[in-house]
Amino acid sequence: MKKNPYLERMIIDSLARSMHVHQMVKLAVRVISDYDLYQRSGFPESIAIPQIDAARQIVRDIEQSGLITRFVEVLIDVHENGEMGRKIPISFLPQIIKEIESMGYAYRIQDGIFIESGDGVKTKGWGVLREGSFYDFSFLRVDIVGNTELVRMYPEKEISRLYSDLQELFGRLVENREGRVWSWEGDGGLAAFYFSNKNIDATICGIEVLLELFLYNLLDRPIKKSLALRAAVHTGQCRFLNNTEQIESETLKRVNLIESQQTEADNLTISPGVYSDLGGKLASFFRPFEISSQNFLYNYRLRWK
Amino acid sequence: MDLLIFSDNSRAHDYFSTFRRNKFFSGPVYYSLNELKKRVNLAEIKNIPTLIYLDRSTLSEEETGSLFRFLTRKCGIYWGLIDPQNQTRDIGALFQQGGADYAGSSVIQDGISLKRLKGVQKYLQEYRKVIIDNPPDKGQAGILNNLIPVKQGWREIVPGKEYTFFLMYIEMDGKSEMEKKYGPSNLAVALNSFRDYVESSLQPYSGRLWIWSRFGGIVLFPFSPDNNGFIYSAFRMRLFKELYDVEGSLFPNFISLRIVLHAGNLVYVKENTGQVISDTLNSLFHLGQKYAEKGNLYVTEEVFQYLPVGLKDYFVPAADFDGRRIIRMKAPGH
Repeated sequence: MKKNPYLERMIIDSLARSMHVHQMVKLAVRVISDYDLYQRSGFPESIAIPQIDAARQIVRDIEQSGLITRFVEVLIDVHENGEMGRKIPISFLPQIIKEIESMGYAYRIQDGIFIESGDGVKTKGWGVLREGSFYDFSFLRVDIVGNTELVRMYPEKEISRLYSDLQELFGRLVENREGRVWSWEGDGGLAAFYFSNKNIDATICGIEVLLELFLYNLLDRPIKKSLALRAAVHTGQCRFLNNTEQIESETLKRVNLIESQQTEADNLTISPGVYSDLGGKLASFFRPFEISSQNFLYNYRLRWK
Repeated sequence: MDLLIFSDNSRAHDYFSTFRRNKFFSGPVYYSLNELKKRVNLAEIKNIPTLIYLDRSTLSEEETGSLFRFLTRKCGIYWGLIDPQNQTRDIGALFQQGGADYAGSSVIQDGISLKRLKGVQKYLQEYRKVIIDNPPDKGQAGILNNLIPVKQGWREIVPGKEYTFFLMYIEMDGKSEMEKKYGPSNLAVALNSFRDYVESSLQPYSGRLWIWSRFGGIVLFPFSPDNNGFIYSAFRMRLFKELYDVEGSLFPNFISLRIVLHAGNLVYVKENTGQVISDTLNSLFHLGQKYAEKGNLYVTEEVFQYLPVGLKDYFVPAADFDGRRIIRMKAPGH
């Protein structure tokens, strides 16, 4: 996020008007866990720091740590829910939120966080994730079946149109559900989903990819042979790096494995952790299959009656 | 239906000497046997039902068998065998392998006639459930003769004037159970949300809700022969219906829909739609309320002819209704 002095001034004024220094520090600690105002400001501990000075120091430190939006999320939380049973109305909060939104972010009420809004720049971490930190994700992996054969059978021009159509389709469907495409390798890709409904979003996105591809094969495909995909969804913890190519993670290895070894063409396979989150209606789309003793995966494919 | 003849026999043209140009078959077109694979592959891509006759007089038993296997794997390709020397020992086996006709020496002597080929078509339609999109006979319900197309969509349509429309009947199944199961206010909210879903799904394809009555209604699409977005939108709606159940529907269970697509002329009115007198509308209501079975999507023959070729494989013949051919969409599931 770019530096915004106007936003910082508003937050400083808001803090100074809304709470005592002790409370400001408690909120700062929620964002920077080892935050020490006296150490940061240079005031001796025997002297009470004036409210406006404390607010300036805290906002400066938080801005330098790149955590301004995270701090505003905390302000929204205490404004809405109070702290330790005590209400803390935050002055200028609507103006602060509006200013952040004008910078290309949107507040996502369900998750209590700011994320990049639809029309602005989209980063792989939604503008929220911190480099090197661990988060829970749901991953959707898709791969074209028989890529080598297709490349050998058809002219390069047709294949490149086909793959670019698929990439566009995948990107559009993933972003419609607030996911992010982390990698695309020409014949397949990986998308990450992060928010509260991540397992449902990734699963429905996988189904949508298969259904849209079915229509594409019927009406728009540039080659005679139908394009077939394997898709898989798995959830788990993963370290986030802005350069997603460098991420090494057991969760990613597992989703790749499910897709490449336990999924047939035109199928979507999901792991038990994903399945258990789906709810009755969506779960009924899937059939369990045993991969080893008492170890199940769940499968969806479009069938015609 | 296209008619292709593959033969290396110089007399092949004589086999069809009694055959006359007609609206049911295009052709016959003659090719050498060594062009068979190439031509059949092309015909399959064109996705037009094609009847092929293979002359086996210059082929060995093995070559014939291999070509049968090739033809049987092809989608939309139907084949018959011309056997001038009556070399085939087991004619029944031909049909078991997917054949549709056998013309031995006596048949060839008389010539393969249009009547015979129409018989082959009838056999394919009735016993093999193949959908062959023939032009309508005289007197058959059809809209080909009096179309009033709407080139510029809704902008062009003036209330009180007659136009050709594509029409969609859509209604939820199980009305009375729902009335019992849900309170009136909850039901009203869920039904309004369903109506919004129908409206927003079809609007991008120029569909407008025209008549609506709680559980369903009629959607109008201005008719244009070049624009089959109407059919695509209905197909798509049915394909994605269960995702709507999961995400959009306010009903706790999966809903079931009856959908009928029809085409015809009617005088467009904006208000008092309940008082419209129209054969087209009447037929559609009858189909939706008396004919359509739970959870199914049907198209009338008037609509079927405009279906994009790729979609036709997902339709199967259903029972006729009021002398009209009806085709049902296969049900997508998981």
